Amino acid sequence: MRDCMNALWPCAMTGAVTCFAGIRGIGTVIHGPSGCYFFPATVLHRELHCTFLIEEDLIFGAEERLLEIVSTLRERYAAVAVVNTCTPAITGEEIRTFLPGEILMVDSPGFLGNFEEGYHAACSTLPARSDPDAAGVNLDGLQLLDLFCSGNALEAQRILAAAGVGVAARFCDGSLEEIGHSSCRSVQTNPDLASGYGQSMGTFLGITETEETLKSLEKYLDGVDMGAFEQEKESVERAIEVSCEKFLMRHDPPVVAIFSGFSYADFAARMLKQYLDASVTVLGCRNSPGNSRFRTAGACSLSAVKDLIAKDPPDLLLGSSFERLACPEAAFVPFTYPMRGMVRLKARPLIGIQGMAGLMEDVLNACLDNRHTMNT
Amino acid sequence: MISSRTEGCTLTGALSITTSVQDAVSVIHGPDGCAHHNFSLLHALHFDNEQLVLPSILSSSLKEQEIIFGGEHALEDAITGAMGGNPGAIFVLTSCVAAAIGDDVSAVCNEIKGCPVILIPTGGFLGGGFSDGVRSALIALSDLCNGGYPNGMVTLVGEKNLEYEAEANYRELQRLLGLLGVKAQLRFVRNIATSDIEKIGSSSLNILRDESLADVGDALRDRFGTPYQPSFPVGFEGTLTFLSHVGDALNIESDRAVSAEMVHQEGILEHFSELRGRAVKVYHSGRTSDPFLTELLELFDLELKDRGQLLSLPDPIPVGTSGLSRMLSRWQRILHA
Repeated sequence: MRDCMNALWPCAMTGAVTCFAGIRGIGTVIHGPSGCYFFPATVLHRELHCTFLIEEDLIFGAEERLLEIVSTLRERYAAVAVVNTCTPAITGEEIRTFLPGEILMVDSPGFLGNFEEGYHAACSTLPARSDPDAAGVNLDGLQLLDLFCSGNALEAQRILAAAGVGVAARFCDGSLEEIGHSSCRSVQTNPDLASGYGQSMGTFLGITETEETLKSLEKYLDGVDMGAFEQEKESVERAIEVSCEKFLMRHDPPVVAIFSGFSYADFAARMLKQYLDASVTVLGCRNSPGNSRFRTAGACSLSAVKDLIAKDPPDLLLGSSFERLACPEAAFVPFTYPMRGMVRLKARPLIGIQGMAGLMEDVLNACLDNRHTMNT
Repeated sequence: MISSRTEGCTLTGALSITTSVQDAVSVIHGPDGCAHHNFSLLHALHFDNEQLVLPSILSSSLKEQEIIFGGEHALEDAITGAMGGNPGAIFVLTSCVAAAIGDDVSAVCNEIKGCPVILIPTGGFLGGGFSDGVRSALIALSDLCNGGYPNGMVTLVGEKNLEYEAEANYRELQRLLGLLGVKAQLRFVRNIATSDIEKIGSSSLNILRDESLADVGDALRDRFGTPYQPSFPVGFEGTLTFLSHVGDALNIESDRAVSAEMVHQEGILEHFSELRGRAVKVYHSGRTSDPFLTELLELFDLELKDRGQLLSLPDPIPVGTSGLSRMLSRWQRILHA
C-alpha cells in the first residue's frame, strides 16, 4: 500500500534547478507552470526564470514561449539551462529540437525521481572542463538547499588555504567561468552529491577524513603544508573530548535518531558514537542509504519518520523542522533542509575541524538545554 | 479557462483550505514532489502563524509506471491508506499530471465507502490558478453540509489561511460583529473539524473574505438560501458601511454600532494626526482598490509626490479599522525614521 504521508524531500526538477542555480553565469528556466517555479524560487533564493505555462500553452504549444525566454536570457547569461517539468514531459514536447544553439537541457520531471537524481542529471550536463593548468582542487558536493552549503565552502577554503592549496572550482556553488577551468582533482564536502568532475581526493566530512584527504593531496600537489591543520586538529579534538567527558559525568549517553542525506547522517552517527557513546536508533535517509555500521531506513515521508521514532524513541534528534515537530520532546539539532521556525544567518560548516566542533557543540547544548527544561 | 500565469498552483489554493479541516486528510493524486512543495510551503507558513501542527497531505506517488499505465490504482491505494487513520473526511485533489494522463478520479472516489471522500478537481495548473483552487475547495467542502435553518449567526467564508494577518483579521471581525451583538458561528474554513462544516447550512449571513469569492457566495446562496456580504470590511467608511449592511442583512438595528465605531475611528484619526499634509509616494502592488487609497489621501490631506516619502499599501488591504490603524502605525514609524 502506498503511504506517502507528507512527502519530506523535493523532486528531481528541484534537484536539477538547484544544480544550475548554484552556478553564476547560467540562466535557469523552469519549463512549467508557476506552481513548479515558486517552490525552488522560494527555497533557493536565486534568480530563476519560468515559462509560467497555462492550459492554453499545452493545447497550442509552448515552443514559442520557451524560445522567447531563452533568447532573452542568452543576452544576459553566458549559458542557459532549461529544466523540464512533469506535464510538458508527459505531452512529449520535443524541446531540444526547436531550441537553437547550445542549451543545458535536463528532462527531469518530478515523477522521474527524487532531488538527488535531478541534481546528478543536471550536473552531467554542466559545461565543466578540466584545465591541467588550474591550480588547487575543486570543492564538490556543495548544493544550495543544504543548511551547511556556504559554511562548508568557507571551511574547506580555510583549511586548504592554510595548507597552501587553492580552490579552482566549486560544484555547484560557484561560477561558470571557474567550472570551465576546473582542476582535475576534487575534494568532497558531501559524498552523496559528487558531481563526477575531477578525481576525488577524499572528503572533508570528519576530522580524520580531512587529514587523510590532505595527505592524499600532498602526494599530488607541491608544497602542501599540514602544520596549521594538525595544530588546530589537536586542540579542537581535545576540547571536544573534555566537553563530552564532562557531559557524560552527569548524564547518560544520548539515544539519537538522525535524519538527513545518508553521508551526513552516517558521519554524525560515527561522531556521536565516538565522543558520547550514543545509541544510534536509526539513520533515516532522505536518499538511498549506503553501507553503514548503523541501522538505516528510508525517511522520505512524515509517516515513515513517525514510525521510526515511535519504534525506538530518541532523546536526541538530528533532522529538519519536520522531525522537530514530530518529536518535540527530544533535544533537537538542525541538520537538514528544511529548517523553519528558526533564524539561521551564520554560515555553519559540517565539514572539517570547525564543522566537527560545531556539530558537537550543537549536540551538547541541545542535550543540556533539553534536560534542563525537563527538570524544571 | 484563463488564469494568471504567475498566480501559483490550484493545488496550493485548495490545500490552503482542505488542510485547515483538522481531522481530515488531503490526498494529492500526483507525484510526491507536488506533495512536498505544498507541504513544505504550508509548514513554513504555519510556523509564521504559530500553528505548530503539521498538515496531513498524502500523495498517490505517481511515477513513470503510472504515467504510462494509468494511476487509478495508485490513487485507490492512497485513499485506502488515508482511511487507516480514521479521518473525518478525505479530500482528493488532482495534480496536472493526473489531469494530463486522464485518470477517472471521480470513479475511484465514488467506489470508496466508510468515509466521506470529496473530490476537488483542481487539475494543477490545468485547472487554473491558486484562487481557482480556493474556490473549488470551498464549494466542494460545502457538500458535507445537508442544509439547516438560519440561526441568526454568521459564517466567515474563505479566510486567507496563508495570510500572516489571518488571526488579527478574525479578531477584528469578531470585534465589529460584537458591536452588533452578532456571533460568528463558523470559520469556513479555518482550523475546524469536519463535523463543523454542517453548520454552514444554518448560517443567517455568509461574510466572504473578498470579492473574488463571489462564486462561492453564489453557490452557498443557491444551495442553502444564505445571503452574503461580499467582503471583509476595508477602509474607514467601508467599515461603517459593513456594519450597516450586516445589520440590514440580519434585520438588526445597526445605528448604535456605527456610531460607536465612528467615535473609535475619530480617535484613530487623531492619534495619527502627524501624517496630515505630508508629501508621500505610495507604492502598491496594483491590486489595491482606488477608493481605499483615495479615502486615506483625503482624510489625511496627503500630497502625492514623486519625491515624497515612500509608503506601501499592503496586499491584501488591511481589514477593518484595526487593520488600518496598524498600517498607519507602520507609516508613522517610517515618517519618524
